[in-house]
Amino acid sequence: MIIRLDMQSDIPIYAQLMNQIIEGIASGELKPGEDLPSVRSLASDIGVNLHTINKAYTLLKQEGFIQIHRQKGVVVNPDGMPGITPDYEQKQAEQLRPLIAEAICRGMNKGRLLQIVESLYEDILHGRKETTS
Amino acid sequence: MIWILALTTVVMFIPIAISLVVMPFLTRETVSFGISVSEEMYHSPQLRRMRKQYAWISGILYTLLLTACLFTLLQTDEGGQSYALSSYILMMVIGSAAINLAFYLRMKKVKASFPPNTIKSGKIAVDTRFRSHKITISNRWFALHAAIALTSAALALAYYDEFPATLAMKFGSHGEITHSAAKSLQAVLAPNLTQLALIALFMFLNRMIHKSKQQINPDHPELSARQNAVFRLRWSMFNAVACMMIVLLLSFIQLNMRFQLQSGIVMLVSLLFPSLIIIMAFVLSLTTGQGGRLINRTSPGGGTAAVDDDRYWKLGFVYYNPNDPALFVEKRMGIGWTVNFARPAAWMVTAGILIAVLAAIFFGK
Repeated sequence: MIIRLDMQSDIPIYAQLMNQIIEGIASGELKPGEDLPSVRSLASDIGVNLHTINKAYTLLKQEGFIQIHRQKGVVVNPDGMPGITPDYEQKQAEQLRPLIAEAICRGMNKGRLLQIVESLYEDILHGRKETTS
Repeated sequence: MIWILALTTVVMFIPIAISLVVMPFLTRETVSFGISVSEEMYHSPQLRRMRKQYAWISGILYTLLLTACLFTLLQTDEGGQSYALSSYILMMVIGSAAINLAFYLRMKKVKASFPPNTIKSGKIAVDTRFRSHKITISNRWFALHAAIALTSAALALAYYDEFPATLAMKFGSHGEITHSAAKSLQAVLAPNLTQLALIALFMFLNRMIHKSKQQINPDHPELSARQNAVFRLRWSMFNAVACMMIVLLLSFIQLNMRFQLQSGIVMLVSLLFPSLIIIMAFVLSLTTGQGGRLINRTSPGGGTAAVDDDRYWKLGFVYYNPNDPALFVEKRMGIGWTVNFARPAAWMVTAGILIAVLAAIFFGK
């Protein structure tokens, strides 16, 4: 899977990395059980501190998206993805709330908002393809 | 015999000179004379002109130098010849460094004159499966090399009595012996020790090609990752072949100690092998380009630049970036890899290679 990062974005690198990996799993580009690069190798390929990668991997592990083994290294969780827990529902509501609030302030109607959610959902599910070649 | 020397000088130095002349055309399109640029800038008329100018200036310089060198080579005696050759190499190194520095400094000014929004980009891409593709050959291939070295050593030991009492160690340009040593175990086995040291060095280089930082173009990451994988695999194969040729050459030198072959054959073989290696490297450079950008190229991508890390590239060729954990990175100028000197391991690697080379020279004496 190709991970794309913007080093000048306001979103921290570890968060971008987490989002990209979760999106990769969602789109099927990363298969359960698939190897991910080691902390050291990914840090040097991206050119960032080891702690940045470690943080992303540790958080992904805590949430159950990946497993970190001593010998096998880092793999996408082969035992299935974490389910919909009350904790997750609460977190999701907290994250969506300000987004929806801003849309309402700007005068976006419910239909348009749901349309955007739907099109993004489809986009992620079918995976992003390389646009230029 | 002098013709062999003159011919191999031409055969060896013309590919080197040509690769130096075309160097700016082989680098990545996001780098111009050691400065990061956007692909759009790279293809601008101004930079096109600069590349042409670079090629002309260096081309004329190397042609003059080679002509002067060949002239002195054919005119002077034995002592003058090795002097002419070494001063030619020295002048070529100084000349190319001076030209590169001049163009680097000019490029810095040129970049400052471009509007800043054409350069800014911080996008990078990494392929999580990059190292699970075949990007280098296995180090197990070097067992073949080691087997040859050990067989040579075993044969040398078995037939130790048949080696002459004085061993020819060094030859002049006419094929005559200029230095010989009394027969000893160390002198007889010196080629094998050198072989083993070199095999270790080439195995290390092969690892370096594998480990080196992934540098793929965020505008077309899939194509770029594929190109880079082929680039590494080809250089890794070249490495193994070049190592094999050097191992065979050293075994041949050991064979010559024992059988005292005709000096013409010795000269030819010992100049032919290095020439072949240089020509192979030349062809490979011209067909792959830095990072493999000349492999299966399609239309150039968008106009975004790589991450601007110019301040970490001292004079455009020494990489010193304490924030980057990568040890091996692609060179900015020319083709191949270099180290991140901000890492202590880089100094250890450099020292290690120097020691290996010095040890090889010491044992070869």
